[in-house]
Amino acid sequence: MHGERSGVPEGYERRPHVRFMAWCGAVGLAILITGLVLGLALPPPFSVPALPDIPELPDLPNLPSGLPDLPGGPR
Amino acid sequence: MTALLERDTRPRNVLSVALVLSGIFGYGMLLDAAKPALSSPVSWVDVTDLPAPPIFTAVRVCVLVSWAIALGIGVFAMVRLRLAPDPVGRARVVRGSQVAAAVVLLLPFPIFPVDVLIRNWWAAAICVPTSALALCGVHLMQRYRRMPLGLPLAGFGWGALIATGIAGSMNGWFRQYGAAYLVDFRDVLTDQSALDATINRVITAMSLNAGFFEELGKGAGVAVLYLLFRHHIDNLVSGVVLGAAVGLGFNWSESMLYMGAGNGEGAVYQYWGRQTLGLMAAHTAFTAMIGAGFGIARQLSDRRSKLLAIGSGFLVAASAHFANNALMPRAVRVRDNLFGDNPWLTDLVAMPLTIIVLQGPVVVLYILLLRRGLRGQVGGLAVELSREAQTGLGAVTPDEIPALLGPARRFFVKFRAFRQGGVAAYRHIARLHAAQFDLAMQRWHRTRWEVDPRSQDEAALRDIVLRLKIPRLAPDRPAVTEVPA
Repeated sequence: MHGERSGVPEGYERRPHVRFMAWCGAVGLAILITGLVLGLALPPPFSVPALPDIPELPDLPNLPSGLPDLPGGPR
Repeated sequence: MTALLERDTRPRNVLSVALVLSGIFGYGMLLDAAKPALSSPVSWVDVTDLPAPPIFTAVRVCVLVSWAIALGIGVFAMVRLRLAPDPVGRARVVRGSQVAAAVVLLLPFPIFPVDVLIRNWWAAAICVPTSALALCGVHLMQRYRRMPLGLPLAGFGWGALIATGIAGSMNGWFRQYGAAYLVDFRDVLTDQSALDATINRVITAMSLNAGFFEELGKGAGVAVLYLLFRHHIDNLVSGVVLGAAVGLGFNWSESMLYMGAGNGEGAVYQYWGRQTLGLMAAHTAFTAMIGAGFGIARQLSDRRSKLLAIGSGFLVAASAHFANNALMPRAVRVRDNLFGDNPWLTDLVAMPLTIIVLQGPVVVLYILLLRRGLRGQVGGLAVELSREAQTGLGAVTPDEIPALLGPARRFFVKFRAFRQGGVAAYRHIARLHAAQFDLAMQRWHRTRWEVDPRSQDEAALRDIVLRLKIPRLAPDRPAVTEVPA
């Protein structure tokens, strides 16, 4: 097939716009890297304060007793 | 007949695309199943592991069912293949089963956008005029030969229903498993810098996820249309148009989603950003780049160059989409800090500036590509129209060429016909121009060794032009024999 394409007349580009598109791909790669660097390095768009002392919430009150066991026995 | 059926690889190719899309849903499912347990110093942090929303669960069930049905279709097809008496029958069974399996695999994806559409029908209706206008504008970007309007419309439909469904699914999966992979609650709760780094990490990963999978879903639509209707795609220009149409459909669906959020509280703001300022940017621009890659591939013969063109288009689309999503919240924060007190400045100055900075480069790229594509077309058409005129067969005369190559002049010719013979005359001349472009484009593709086997041959196209040039005898219709320059 490539051999056939060598018959494309002089006035017509054989691989039109491929080079330009490759440049676009390079621009895309640059945008990707820039986005990654800025996304990870800039201060976050919002922040929440960390908790110096983490409270352990009290356990929920026990469920009422007398419920039937689940199939397969008590858990 | 058998050879034609066997050579037709379209159903197989479309099935491959459907398998890829269904497969990425499976990939999300796999990541979710394999996610590590949340590491937390306190039990109550486990509330982050929330159950999935009902609609997401519904899609998941439907995808699993679609896999079972597709498998059933495969088994059924194998049985029928054994029973089919002749090669034609077997080819029909294969094609039919491939088409049926592809449809079944794609069917679960519209569930999410249809749910959004039902809940936010008012927003969908509001967005119809702007999106329709933009779609018309995109169609008119084809200044010479235009593909049938049904193709951009189908692209719009894919973007609105299938691509949005894939995006919703993959973003849904990320919400299910993202925190488990990216957040370590042992540090995050007590260490401020670890907390800030985690927020950045989650936003960046979420944006990567959205950029990659949303563009994959939209790009799949361009790929399907390319595979099915390659004979209507001429070059870069057709690709940009198809990509932009898919992007517009996606943008329409996403607009109604965001406009309807919070009982429509931010609807005006979202409409301004998505259906006015960013209508021809954002999704439209990103997917136009994917379309450009396919449009360029249409004129290439070697696989390496095709992959380079399509891959570059996808890379720039996904990267720009990712960077836009990752940096937009920061840009909004800066904007609010600077103009927060003045909504007019925020909406009329700062918001356009944000869009120009984050999406402008891709808009410039697709406009440049479109310009190159149009130049390529006019260069090819100038040569081929002249050669056709030199044949003396009458389909194109030397006098007609300047009007055919100049859109303004062409419009003037049609307008003059309208004044002389009304709408019928206008439409007749428009059909004649379209037929002449079909013929010249076919010649262009033949000269470049890139004729699609499904396109009409030159003799048939020439006949169509010549028939349109036969003077009409009906009294209410003007005689049209030539298109003056």
